[in-house]
Amino acid sequence: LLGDILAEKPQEKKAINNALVLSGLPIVDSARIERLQVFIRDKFLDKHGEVVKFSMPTDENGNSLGFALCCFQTDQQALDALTDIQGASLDKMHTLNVFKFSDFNRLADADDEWKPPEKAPFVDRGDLRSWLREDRCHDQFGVLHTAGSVATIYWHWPGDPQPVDSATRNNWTESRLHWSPLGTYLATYHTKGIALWGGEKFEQINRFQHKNVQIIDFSPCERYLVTFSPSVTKEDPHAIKMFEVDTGKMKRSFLHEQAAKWPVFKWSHKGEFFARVQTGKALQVFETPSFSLLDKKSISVQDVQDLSWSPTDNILAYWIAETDNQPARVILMTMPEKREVATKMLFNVADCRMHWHPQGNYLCVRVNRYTKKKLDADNTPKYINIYTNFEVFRMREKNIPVEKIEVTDAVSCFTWEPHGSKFAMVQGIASKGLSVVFYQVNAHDIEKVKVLEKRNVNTISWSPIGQHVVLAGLRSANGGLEFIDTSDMKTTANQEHFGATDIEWDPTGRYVVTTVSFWHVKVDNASHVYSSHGTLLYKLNKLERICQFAWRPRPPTLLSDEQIKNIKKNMKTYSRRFEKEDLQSSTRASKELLEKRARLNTEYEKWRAKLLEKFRGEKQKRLELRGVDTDELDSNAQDFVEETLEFPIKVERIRIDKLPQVAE
Amino acid sequence: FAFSQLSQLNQIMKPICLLGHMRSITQVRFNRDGDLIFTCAKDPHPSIWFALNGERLGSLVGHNGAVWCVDCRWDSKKVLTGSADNSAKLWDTETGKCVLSVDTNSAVRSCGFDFAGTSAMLTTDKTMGYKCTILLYDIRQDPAGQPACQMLVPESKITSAVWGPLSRFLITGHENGDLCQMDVRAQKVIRTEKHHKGAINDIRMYKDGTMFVTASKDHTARLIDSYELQLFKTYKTERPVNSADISPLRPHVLLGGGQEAQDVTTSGAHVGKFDAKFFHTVYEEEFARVKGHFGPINSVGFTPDGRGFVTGGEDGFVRLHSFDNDYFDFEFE
Repeated sequence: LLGDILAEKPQEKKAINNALVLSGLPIVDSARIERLQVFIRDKFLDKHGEVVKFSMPTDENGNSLGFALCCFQTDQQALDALTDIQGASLDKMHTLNVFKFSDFNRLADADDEWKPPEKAPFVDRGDLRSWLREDRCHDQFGVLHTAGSVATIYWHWPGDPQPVDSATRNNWTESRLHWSPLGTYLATYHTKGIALWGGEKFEQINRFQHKNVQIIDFSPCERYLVTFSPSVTKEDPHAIKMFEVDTGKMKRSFLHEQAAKWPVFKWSHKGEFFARVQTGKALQVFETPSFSLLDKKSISVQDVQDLSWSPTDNILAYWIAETDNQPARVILMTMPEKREVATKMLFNVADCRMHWHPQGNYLCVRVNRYTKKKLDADNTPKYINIYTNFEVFRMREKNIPVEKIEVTDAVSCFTWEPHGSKFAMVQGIASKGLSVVFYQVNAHDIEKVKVLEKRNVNTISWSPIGQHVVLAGLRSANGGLEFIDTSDMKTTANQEHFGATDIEWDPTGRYVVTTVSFWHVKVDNASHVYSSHGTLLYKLNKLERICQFAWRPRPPTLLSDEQIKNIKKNMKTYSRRFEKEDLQSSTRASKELLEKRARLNTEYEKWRAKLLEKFRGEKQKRLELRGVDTDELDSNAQDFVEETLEFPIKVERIRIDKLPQVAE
Repeated sequence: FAFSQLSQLNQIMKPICLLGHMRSITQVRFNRDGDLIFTCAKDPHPSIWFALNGERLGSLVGHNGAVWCVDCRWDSKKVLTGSADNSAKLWDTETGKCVLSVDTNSAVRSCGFDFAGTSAMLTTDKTMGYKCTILLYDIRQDPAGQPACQMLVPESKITSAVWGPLSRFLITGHENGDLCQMDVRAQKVIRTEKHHKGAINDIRMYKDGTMFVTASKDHTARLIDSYELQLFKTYKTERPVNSADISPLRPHVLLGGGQEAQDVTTSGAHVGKFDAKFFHTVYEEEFARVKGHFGPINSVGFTPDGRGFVTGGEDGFVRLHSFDNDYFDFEFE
């Protein structure tokens, strides 16, 4: 305790944490040194805070030496400047290399003799993809239950899921389970940071330190892990950290102050780039593995609001807000070339949201537009009469043409059909009745194919392989589930899982699982498993207080489109083989079940036999206590008394004068 | 797996509904011969019914508060009731007259005749400064309120209690899930086992007293042996189990339960939620559900010949069911 108090004692401020050294500057003569100083201060330093001290040392002739020292008023300003200007280029030949003055001490203290680093022992992680080679290609799923204190990984053998060996662990995670995007790792949350598990036995692969980590994100290639924690300290003010999964090393960390949606850094599809928006100012695109800004500088874009990567190409889409003299714009830019491939001007824009098609074939920008705009007392814009436009960019066509759809109702839950060309959304407001509307993107137009009215739906969940979709009313909407085959827009089934809070398709599109999570509802926590057509297959309700059900993702298929088409054509021959296998395994399963039951019966008989022995041994005592043998219901049959009870079965009322006449 | 077998058991004969209580049922019991049903509820008048046709024999008048427990002596001549009015009463079955009454310090939660029918055990609640107590009375003559012996239960209060084989000791279920064997005459706890994680709501003996089933708030019922309190089987459900019984005829266990009263409105008004569940004793698998109650089921019991069962619910109804022929032929494949 005393140590804690001492640590809080106000320290004398050592004025080195707010000092930076800028090197890589051009060497100029005394005539131009003044100009260089002003240039450096203007362009790089002043915007980060007050520069308390600035000096550019010179040699005996008055020429600059190529570096400068500056002190900011606060440590924070110095850090901000460091992150921002590090690696910025001054001109073709000079790049700014900035580091903290405090680093000097560290370098000065380094050993004179170079010691080669210790060789780290080789850790064989085993086959991290072993689960994909299961005989019948069954998937795995993870369940967090018992109010979050136990997590179990199961093999999904339909009707009879079996826990994976050594994959039921107490307190495996402190908040939730998180699978990596290709399913290779399982991430668990702890106060100290994140742990990754994988391989056949779910051994620990690596640990990543980040105190009180709250939320994480993986790069799509699974090479990098991004973590966020709100607990920042003076010594470690970086709320966002990026780690390399294989080595466990932290590659870069970032400050984060503004409120934003997670993930703050968005990854390109191969993990080559990640980018974030500095709202209103610039796009920062970083490249891996250097983790520095692409071309060493941010892309300055005035009024930029948000960005989004294509899921299959290195194309970055971003939108710029409307200003008084310029309309809003959506721009698509390739990386790393930074070439604009499409631009769309939008007028009367209140807000934009970007929705990429999962295979990158289309980008749909949902634009909230207004008919009139007013300015409030404090100059915040107020929009009257909002309606929605959807601008669909056809990414695979030459020159990326854009088509527009207009919707007057309120809109929510926009979703694309994976591997298809449809999209669906919920239109309307709850009080007047919600409708689900399906559109089809055809070669030359976008057609409204179906409107389903009066649906109490708040979630549209597409199968990952397309075609099938579930319209669900989760949480407060009573758990109605409508399964639709969109090839003919027919409803294949209507089910209900009362109180369901989550819905998830398995990665192959064969099963849908709805869960009532203990985190939202305290009773009836269970997961229901349905087929893609909506038949209820079984319920996972023997686990107590299920909090989370998460399918293990799969890496994308290695088959080409051509091969997939061939398989679909020859489905009949393939399915014959699988039906035979299914029959064999079900008879095998029932045989196993019969054996298990026979075993249980013999155990039970043995147990009962022991108890009956004791029972029989006590018979004498029982006779003494009651005076008669009462072991069986008819043990004292001689004492039985026969009694006749009469109960009226039927009561009939007959009027006397209606009696049939008796012949005289 | 057994969901397909559910449909077979849904053709059970229409149950007889016994409507005699204005408040929730607390316990239903049969006499040893199975021709009488004893029901008690949160109203002060327990009732006795003929099991044959559901006709009421009469009600026992005398208590002033909710009646928590009822037991019938092995020869069916006497009835014992325990009530929240801090008293337990002994009645004559045939006439309904109260022959003995003892006052206790707090509400009587469980009661039971011993094997011979000469002693009565009571357990009282832990309230108003009084600790949970087990009281034994000799009922061959008026004990004048003096227990033959008593034992204080210091920690977790008793929520359910029955006599062990030959009435050598009591088997008690506690609020924290403990199960104990108590020798009240020697004033000691013979053994304690913790198989449940939640309060034990009910304990019912198998017909020969060698094993019993416990129903607990932790959503399970368990089959345990009476001599060593060894856990043998567990039956899992999604809701707290209020009562359970073992069939004297077939390897079946009956569970009745439901959610906490205050949670009733949060789930749908599905009649199906309040159902009696049948499990296979050995395979621990649920194979049937019988719907009908509009509220959680508080007490269940098989008829002594195993040909039917009775359930009493929070809705105040007592439903007497008879199995049809399919039930007796029904086997797991």
